[in-house]
Amino acid sequence: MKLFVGVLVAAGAVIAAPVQADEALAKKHNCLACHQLDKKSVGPAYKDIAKKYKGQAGIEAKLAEKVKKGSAGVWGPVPMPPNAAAPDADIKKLVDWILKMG
Amino acid sequence: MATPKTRLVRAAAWLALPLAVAAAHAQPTQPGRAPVTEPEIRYQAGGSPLAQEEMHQNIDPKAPPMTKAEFDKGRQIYFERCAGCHGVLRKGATGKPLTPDLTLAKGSEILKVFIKYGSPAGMPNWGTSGDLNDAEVDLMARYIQQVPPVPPEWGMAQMKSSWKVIIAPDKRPKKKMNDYNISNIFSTTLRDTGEVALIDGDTKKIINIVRTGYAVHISRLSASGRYLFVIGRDAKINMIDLWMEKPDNVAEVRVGLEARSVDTSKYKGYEDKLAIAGAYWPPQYVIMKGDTLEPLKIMATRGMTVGDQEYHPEPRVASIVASHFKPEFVVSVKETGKILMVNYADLDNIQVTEIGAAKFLHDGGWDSSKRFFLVAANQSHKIAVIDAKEGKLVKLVDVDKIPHPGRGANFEHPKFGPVWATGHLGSEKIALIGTDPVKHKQNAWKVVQMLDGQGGGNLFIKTHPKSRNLWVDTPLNPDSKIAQSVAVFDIRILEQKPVVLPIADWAGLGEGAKRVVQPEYNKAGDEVWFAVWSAKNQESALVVVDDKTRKLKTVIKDPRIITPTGHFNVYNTTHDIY
Repeated sequence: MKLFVGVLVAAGAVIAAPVQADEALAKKHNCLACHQLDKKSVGPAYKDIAKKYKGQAGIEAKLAEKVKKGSAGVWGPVPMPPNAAAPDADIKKLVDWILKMG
Repeated sequence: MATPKTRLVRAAAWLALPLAVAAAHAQPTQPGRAPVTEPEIRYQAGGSPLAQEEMHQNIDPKAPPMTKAEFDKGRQIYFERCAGCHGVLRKGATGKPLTPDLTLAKGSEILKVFIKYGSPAGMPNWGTSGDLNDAEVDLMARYIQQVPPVPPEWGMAQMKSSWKVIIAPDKRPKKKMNDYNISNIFSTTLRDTGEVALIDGDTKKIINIVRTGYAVHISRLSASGRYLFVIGRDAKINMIDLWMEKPDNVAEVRVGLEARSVDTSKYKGYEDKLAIAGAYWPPQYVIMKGDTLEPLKIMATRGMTVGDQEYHPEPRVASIVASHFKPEFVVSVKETGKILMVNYADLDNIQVTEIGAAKFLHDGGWDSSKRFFLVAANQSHKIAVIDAKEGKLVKLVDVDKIPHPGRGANFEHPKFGPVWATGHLGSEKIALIGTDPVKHKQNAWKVVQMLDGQGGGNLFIKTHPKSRNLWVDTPLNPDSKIAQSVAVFDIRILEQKPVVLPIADWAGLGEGAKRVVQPEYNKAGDEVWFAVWSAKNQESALVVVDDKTRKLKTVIKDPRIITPTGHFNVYNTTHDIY
């Protein structure tokens, strides 16, 4: 599982205003069912994802693809389901938002 | 977490655990909802008898399509594994709600991940444990997006048609026709065979094996001690006359489709007159004639929850006791968190005092004076104290995770005076609560001491007025060594660590799960009986321990003793001695 779109649950307080919008987006696309900002849940914490990938060249596109098509085997046995219905623009926003947490 | 979870589910499987599709809206930070522990999940277990009920499939065009055959299979799996935690109508309890508004928003792919792999919040990993294959996981992901089917109601017509008087009151003995010391009989549930064994506490011999409902939850006595009432999970009540030459069924009735509790009128002037049973489905309780089980009055529990005051469509009746102070039954309703003091003096103009306590009420018992009733609100981690004389809530006492008192245990604490004790499903703690508001006012309704037992997964705790031992079982602990032994404290020196006795080893059985369940005293209070509960195809036993020496007294084995679980001494149960 890798990435997902997601985002954090309780983050509102922690991070400032722009975050709010992306958190709402994450909620809208059900990312928060499996992910939390700073704690491993069913899926990895967003902070851990950011830490792992931050600064890698071209990572945004790779992660966006994982979100769209699903992924497995990176963070443990639980797979990330595909999110084919999520618009690419939303996914991009979410990936950027997650990477900023590292 | 794959490892502990796998272990959990495996253990769970034979218990037939329910499942908890906790997932649908996994909000690990959901306020007030602690992760569900392994013992709790095991406890909720138990295939619901509703798995066998036909139910109507309502088609929601937004939900993934399912054929009737798929829907029926999903329904069966749901009631065998999921309903215990998520509820009949999927409104949630131990597990999260799974109503279509939530599940449709998640969609099949996410739901499948939760069902297959579980979640840190307590949802078992049904797929990776091997309990469900991928096709079944997919089926269940679609099933829980459908409109929850509603099981049939069970009103007076259904009760009457299930009601049988096997021996009419005027054809029964006028006096005791046997030589048994009936006040020392033990009624032992044989869980998987749908029977109880009546065992002579003096000779340790089986008197009779009586056909009953499935997985009898409890045994209770009429006020005189003559009639024994047992209720199965399938809501079937059997009434056994202990005066017969060979005690056996004299009446039976089914009060619903799933149930847990039964009791009898104990107030002066009403001895042996009435019985009451509480159902899980439909959510209701029924008052019956005490000599025939003829259903007289059915009362619904559907209504508003305590606190947030929201409508709940299936508040299950968790437990019932009978007041000694008034002609009242004390009915604890799980999901609404209310305790109903049901006055049975005039059933046509029935008066019910509704006491708001805390959500998810479970089981409980009287203090030593029988005036105060202490009941666990187990997902709220509290004990509610009710004054049966005044009909009021006295206090909500915070205890540890998921208290499970059974009926609790009363004794005189060397320092704090009279206390009532409860163990916990969710931790190793044993909470002692002061119960004397007169002579020990400063200790009343407070946790005066926390003891450390062997671990979580405790179901029953027991002592006796003539004993100085406090026995604590741990049958649902994931560690088999702990599940197969009991801890015993000396109530005069509670600072001292408990002694651990390997009861299952003493039984000398072969392979098997062998959980040690429910310490129960004999009438004299000098023996403690334990069930060593193994699987249906393996040998089980009852182990009798000398209370004073804490040494093995005898092991009761018999090919007919299959899956023994709860066991109730007639005298102690009649008189609420615990």
